[in-house]
Amino acid sequence: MIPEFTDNPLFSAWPFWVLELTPEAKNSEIEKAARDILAKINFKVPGADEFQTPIGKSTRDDYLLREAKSALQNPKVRLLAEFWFVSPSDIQVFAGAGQEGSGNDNAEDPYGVCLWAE
Amino acid sequence: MGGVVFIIILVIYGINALSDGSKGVSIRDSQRGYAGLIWVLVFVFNFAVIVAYEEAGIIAFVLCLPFIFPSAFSLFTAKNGWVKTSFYFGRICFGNYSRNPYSGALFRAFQASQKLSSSQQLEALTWLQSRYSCYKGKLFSGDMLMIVMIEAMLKRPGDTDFVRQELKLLSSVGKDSIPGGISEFFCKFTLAPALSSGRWAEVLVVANQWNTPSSNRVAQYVIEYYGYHVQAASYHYRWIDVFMASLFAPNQKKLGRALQGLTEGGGEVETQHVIPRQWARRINNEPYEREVLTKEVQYMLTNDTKTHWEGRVQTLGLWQPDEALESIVESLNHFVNLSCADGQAEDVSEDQLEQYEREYKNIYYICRNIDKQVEKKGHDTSINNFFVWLNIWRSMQVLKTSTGGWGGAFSMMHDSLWNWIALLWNTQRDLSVTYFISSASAPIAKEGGHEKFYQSLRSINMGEVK
Repeated sequence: MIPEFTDNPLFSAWPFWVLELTPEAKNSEIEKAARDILAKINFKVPGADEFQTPIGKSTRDDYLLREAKSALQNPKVRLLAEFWFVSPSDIQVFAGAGQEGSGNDNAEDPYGVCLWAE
Repeated sequence: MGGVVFIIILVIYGINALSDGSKGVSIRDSQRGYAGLIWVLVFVFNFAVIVAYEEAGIIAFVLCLPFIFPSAFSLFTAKNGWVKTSFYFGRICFGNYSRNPYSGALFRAFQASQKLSSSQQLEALTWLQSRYSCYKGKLFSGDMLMIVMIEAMLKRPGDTDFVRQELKLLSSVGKDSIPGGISEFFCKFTLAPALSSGRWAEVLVVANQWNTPSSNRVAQYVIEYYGYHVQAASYHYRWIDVFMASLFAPNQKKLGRALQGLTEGGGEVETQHVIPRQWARRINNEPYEREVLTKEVQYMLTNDTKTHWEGRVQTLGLWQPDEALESIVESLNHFVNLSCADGQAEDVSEDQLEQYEREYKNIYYICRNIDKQVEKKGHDTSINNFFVWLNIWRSMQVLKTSTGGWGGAFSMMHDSLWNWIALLWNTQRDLSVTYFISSASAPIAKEGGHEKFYQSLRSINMGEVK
């Protein structure tokens, strides 16, 4: 288990990232995803032991997969995971946009809202 | 005969306006009463001149028109960039800036200055600065806003971000006496970056901040628009409210387009963007501010989202739904605490420590001067009192980032501040400046455990002390 996953609520969606699922996933899909990824890890498929998080790639093993599966099968943990869920790919787009935006210090009036009050 | 009846009606209106104003506690209303009476008297005087002198009277009436409708004339002069004329016409706009005609003068002159080239603009603003520096009257919130704006524009011409940063210092000024036009102007000024960054939460926070008692049509339109188009919390005829709000909002087409872009452009339902923004902040190493973060986090659990999560709790088959929802709230609070603690845990550099010390000493010396003023029961002008407090408050904002510096500085100035507030409120009757000081200090007093002082400040803020 990666310590930050349990320390910071922002990481609450980690089981979804590990299993590459979204909050719409049903129990059967959770089982299937865990089984598939485990098989790929066992067969040493390239990239199977890595998963995407908002802060970059991380590694997964059978232990982490079991943890993720059981977390999503616990309704209370799953609720929090759903609440804090974001797709890692979306985050990278969002963060990139933030960086571009921060360069524009004088982002004045892009919608043509003039300063005139009348 | 008809003219006499008309005059009588006007006089009755004036007296009513005056008595209405004097009944309430709001100075804004009472000033509106006086303004109404003055306007009626000027009008009656002009009417009498016409009746008495016929043709010559009509000429006199035409010449007096700017004084009967100063607002229209000040708008005309401001649009043409006549700074001084706008200043003087704005000064007599009692109808528009009832309590706060001086802010009207500054506002119109400022608007006129924006029509000039940058060098002329600087000259005009310097002239304005020289005018308000020697102003002997009492300051009100509208004046404070305009003064801070002009000072910031003079310090860093063209740097609108700096102006917005300076305006944040005034977040606790009393809203009651901000005239509608000024409120709308500042609302648009602060809305521009929020609209450009496409953040509904920030747009809403700004709109609510500027939704002052004197109607702010921009803020009302934004709030109505959000309620109808985004939150979709609508009763049957809600669209009428939105339509009416849009009808009276200045620049409503542009504003409407901006809001539409915000809603449609990125699917901007705020709750969907709060978490990605926290991630972006973390990845880009942006600092967390507790107030901003708390406000943003509040948008994650609005009534609508709560309903959604209640449904989800049932679908997931949780035994104790309340407890499950409580765990979401807990996680949000934990996140806020953790994020803000992260920011505070950073090492403080030598330069920062020196700056803290400088600010601390600054407050110390200002307090010594305040003590002297209090001892002599000195009568300083409202503008000087305002600048003194602004100086303290600016230093306090710097100390806010240091661990313990904020509370420590407040404990140091606690006695001086209390005596000063008493002097300003009881002797000098500088109500708006005192209100600003007390509303800014109250949270720090509470945080620092100065319970008695906090209660006094609170009673000033709540209007319990007359």
